[in-house]
Amino acid sequence: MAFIIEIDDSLETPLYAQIKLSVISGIKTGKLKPGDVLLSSRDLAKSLGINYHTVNKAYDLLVQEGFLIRDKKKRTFVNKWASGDDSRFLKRWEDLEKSLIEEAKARGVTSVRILDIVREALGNS
Amino acid sequence: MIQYLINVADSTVIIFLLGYINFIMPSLTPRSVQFGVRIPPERIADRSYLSIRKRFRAHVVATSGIVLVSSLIVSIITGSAGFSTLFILVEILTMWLVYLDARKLLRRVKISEKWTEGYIQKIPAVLTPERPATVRILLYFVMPLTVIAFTTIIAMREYPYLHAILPVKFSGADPVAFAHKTVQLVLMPVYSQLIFLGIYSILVFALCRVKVVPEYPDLNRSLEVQRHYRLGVIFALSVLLTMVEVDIMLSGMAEWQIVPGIFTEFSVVPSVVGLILVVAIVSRMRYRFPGQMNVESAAPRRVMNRDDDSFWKAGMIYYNRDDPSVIVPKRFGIGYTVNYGNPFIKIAILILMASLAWLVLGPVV
Repeated sequence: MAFIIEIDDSLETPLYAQIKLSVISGIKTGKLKPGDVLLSSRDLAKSLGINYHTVNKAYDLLVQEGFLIRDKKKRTFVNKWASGDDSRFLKRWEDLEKSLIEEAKARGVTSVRILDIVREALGNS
Repeated sequence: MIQYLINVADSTVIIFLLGYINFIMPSLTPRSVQFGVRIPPERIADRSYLSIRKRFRAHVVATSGIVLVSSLIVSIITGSAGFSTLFILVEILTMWLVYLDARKLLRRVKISEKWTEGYIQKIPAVLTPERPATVRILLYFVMPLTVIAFTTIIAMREYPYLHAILPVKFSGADPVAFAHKTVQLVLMPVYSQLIFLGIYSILVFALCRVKVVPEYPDLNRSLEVQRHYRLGVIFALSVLLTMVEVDIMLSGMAEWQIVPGIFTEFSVVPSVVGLILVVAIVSRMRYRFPGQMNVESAAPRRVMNRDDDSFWKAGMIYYNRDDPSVIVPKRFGIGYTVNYGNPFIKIAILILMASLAWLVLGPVV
């Protein structure tokens, strides 16, 4: 069965971030398996009817973060390490988390509220 | 007399087919797009929509009937089928006006009754590339290739027995010149067949690359329907191409005096039969659409495809500068159209217009 992503251009979340999140979600749920080939950015842009650069930005970020890899023929695959343990990812995630928590505290968000948000996110996943 | 009767019959069949295709058109388009208007699929059973569809069909029957009868009367009075093309154009124009009327009514109802209110509008797309049905598509080439091979064999077998001077003709018309017998001249019908085969190959290539749009509420099922439809269109075109190839072969055979000259007058019949077969294949697909979409059973959320009516000018012309697609499925009607917002299409239109201007004004200037 084909893997279908759904984006909503009425949301505040940028389209590239929605595409990125959809791919990560597909990997997490096992609908996208390591080695699966994805549509080229141009073809996905055609399917979604959106600008090519938007899709390319999402793909570039996913490649940088190790979820996807590109071969010499510019084909894009799901990285075989995408769903497994990745120390580089954990390090980056910890850094990002620390920075987000610091920012939230600076804006007066309480620790209890932060924990609630994290629990909610974990519960939804 | 025979030529007159054949021409009258041809135009009658074409007008009838145009009317019939329009009559069944609401069943040939996805449930979420009716008369070029994006609607929540659940609204397909809405009383307002059903009355608009009924009105559309009544108008199609009435206008097609009037055009058909007028065409026959004019042919009988004038004793010629010279006005056939005009009546076919009138039929196309009236069908377009009837469609615009239905579209206007449906858009008005959609806006006044706020059909899209409460729906989350999303853009779904397939992320993993599909495996093309290469073997099946290659099999569709067998029929036309067989006819071309058969024509070539006949031409080469007859070559030694043909006259030393042969007429140079185009599409069964009077000879434009006479020339010495050469293999190239004798194989002219085969070259024509190859040109049509080339056009078909380009169309198949383009159709294989056309974008497939998943439709709510059943995204995967809608993809199956569209792929099946696309293969159906490729097959229908293959049948039409085969009949056109037979048409050319019969003209060639009449030319080489293998069959009586009367066959030249009948040579257009296979193409018309091809058109009838295309309509029959497409109508058969109609009955598969409602069952496969299965709208009522698969509506867990109030989600619909993004309302993209604004990109469709008059419900027929697709103009979206952000969409890099060149070819897109038609909003209403069989087949596909182009994205006029794409720079390639803009350049192609400019070239086409410049060529037309050169053709028309060239001799004057």
